Amino acid sequence: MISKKICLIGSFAVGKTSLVRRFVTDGFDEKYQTTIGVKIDKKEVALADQTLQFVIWDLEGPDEFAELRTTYLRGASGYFLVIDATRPKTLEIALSLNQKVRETLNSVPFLLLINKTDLEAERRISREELQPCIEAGWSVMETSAKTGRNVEHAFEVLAQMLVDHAEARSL
Amino acid sequence: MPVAPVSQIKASVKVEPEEQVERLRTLLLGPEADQVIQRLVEKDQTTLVTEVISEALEQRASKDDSLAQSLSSVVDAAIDTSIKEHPDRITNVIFPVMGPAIRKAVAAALQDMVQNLNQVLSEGLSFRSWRWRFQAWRAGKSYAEYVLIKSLQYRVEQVLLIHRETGLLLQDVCVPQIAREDPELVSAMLTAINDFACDAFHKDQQQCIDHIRFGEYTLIIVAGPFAMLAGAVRGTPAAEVTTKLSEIIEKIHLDHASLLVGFDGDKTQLEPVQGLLKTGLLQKEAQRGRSVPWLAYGFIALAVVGMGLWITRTYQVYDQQRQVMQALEQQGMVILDQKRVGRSLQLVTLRSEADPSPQAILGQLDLTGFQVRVEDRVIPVVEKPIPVAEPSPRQQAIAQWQQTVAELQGMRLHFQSASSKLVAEDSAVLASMVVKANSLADLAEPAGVTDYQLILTGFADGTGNEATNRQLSRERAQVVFEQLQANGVVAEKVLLWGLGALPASELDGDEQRIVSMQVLYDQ
Repeated sequence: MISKKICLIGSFAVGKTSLVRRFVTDGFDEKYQTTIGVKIDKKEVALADQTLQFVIWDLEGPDEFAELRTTYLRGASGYFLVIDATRPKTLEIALSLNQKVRETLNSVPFLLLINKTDLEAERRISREELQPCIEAGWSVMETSAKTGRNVEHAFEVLAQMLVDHAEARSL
Repeated sequence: MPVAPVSQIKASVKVEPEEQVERLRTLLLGPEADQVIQRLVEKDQTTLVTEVISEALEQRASKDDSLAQSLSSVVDAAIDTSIKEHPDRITNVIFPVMGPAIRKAVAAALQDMVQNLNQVLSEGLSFRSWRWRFQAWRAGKSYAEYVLIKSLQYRVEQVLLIHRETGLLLQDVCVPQIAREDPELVSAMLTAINDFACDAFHKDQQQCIDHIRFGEYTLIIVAGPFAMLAGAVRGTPAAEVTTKLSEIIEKIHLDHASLLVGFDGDKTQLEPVQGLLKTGLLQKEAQRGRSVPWLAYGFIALAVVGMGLWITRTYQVYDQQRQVMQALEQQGMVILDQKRVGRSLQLVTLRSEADPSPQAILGQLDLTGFQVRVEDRVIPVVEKPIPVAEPSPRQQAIAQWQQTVAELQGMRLHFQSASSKLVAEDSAVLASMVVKANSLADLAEPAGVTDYQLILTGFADGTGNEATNRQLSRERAQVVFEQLQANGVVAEKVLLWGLGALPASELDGDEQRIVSMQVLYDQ
């Protein structure tokens, strides 16, 4: 079995830890607990022809007091860029973070996750606002850690992207 | 044939030197010269190789492992074939080795067992072991775990090989039967801690935390360019642990550098390093003086003596109890209840008033140190005649009839020699016979006798001839018959005959000359 390190990156309180919890333990907690430093979990993802083991590094979301520690990104094979659908600011931060990440990781697969889509009434980021990202070739997916919508699928998609990326590099 | 001089040949034929040599060789060796030379060269090469092969192999083997690797498959196949084709041969070859090896293994196992027994005795009963038990209980640990902590200076319980760049676990080994965290998460977290430390203190990423202490564990980390090795050590690790881990990581980098550089997440490729990692599971026992466990020996001796005394005393008590019971039962006493508490026996006995008391019986026994308390229950003796049922009148009549018949049949009337004259002494017998014979008539009916017949039989001694004797014996019976008839006995009730002399009789002559009576009756 192939092991891969992946990271979850995004502003604070966008739901990175909740996404990991939903994916790993199929659970959800309304109470917000901030991540300090990094939290690590692992889970296997079964694809059509192989199984990948994800070692998931859930990184502390940067805010006015803390910056993203890019050292934690070292050796990551892919990552999720997570934003909160109810907070437009998180998209701006994500775009900024992504630049930093690209400097560290070069070209590795990633997925932009629009989380908290269960809060439809409070949504402040329209699909049109995401259009530039899509046009830039980003893979974008709407998720909800609370309902579980697209969470497992997102990990499967990233797993497939890692496999495709590895095959492309070996050619 | 005349041969031209060489100078002339040279002069007449202009030939190239190589061609000349070729011609000369053909002349000397014939047309197959090339093949002959080739064979000679080949033969020469074989000889050459034979001479240098040993040295060549030795030199190559000293350089690297390639020769061994090349030959291993050939040697394996050869051994397989040899064993399959000649199993007996391989048995014979290894036989001299197997015997000593087995004996050595058995001896080693026995030695281990004795050593373990010694250790259990010395460790299990010492003050220190009890102190450790108490401390283990207070610390909430099992005794075995606590002993391990105390008796080992250190033990490397787990070794993790971690990819430096990704923090992914490459391989890990651990000692059996220890609880451990998920090594994948540990390796990732360890990498994160290291990254944080480097980031926080602005160190070069190639630098690495070398150890982390927490509780009784020390995590020793040695890093190479592409991978690092983390050893979880319980106790106080010595410098040799770090040295060993460094050697291992260097060896891994030497052998598997390409895999580490291009690591793609497939750790199965690194499974061969498991054996190497296991060599890092070092442990060292704490140095302790080997003192003689006198306390343990004293305790065992005391226990043995105490046990012996207890067994002896128990047997004595049991034997005394057995003697008491036996003595009482022999005197006819019934033991209703018994209860022994320690060296005291309580009994409830039942006896006849006429029997001796239990105290008297027990007084005759040696019951030193054994207390017997008896609740003596006595049954009074009452002399009462045994009631006998009164016979009925009929039973009485029957008994009287049977008695009279028996008396009549027991009477013998003796006669004088060669005469039918009764001896004088038997006159009273005859009179008695008459009376009893007459009484039968009265006794018959009450006794239920429906009919009876008196048979008088006369006998003679053997002095006369048979006819005379027969006649004489009949006359004697007749005499008695007449007396009976004369005194009231009904004649029809009497039959008489003379039997003469009894053949081969051993009776005296007086006893042979008699008349007897038989009574036949129907009841």
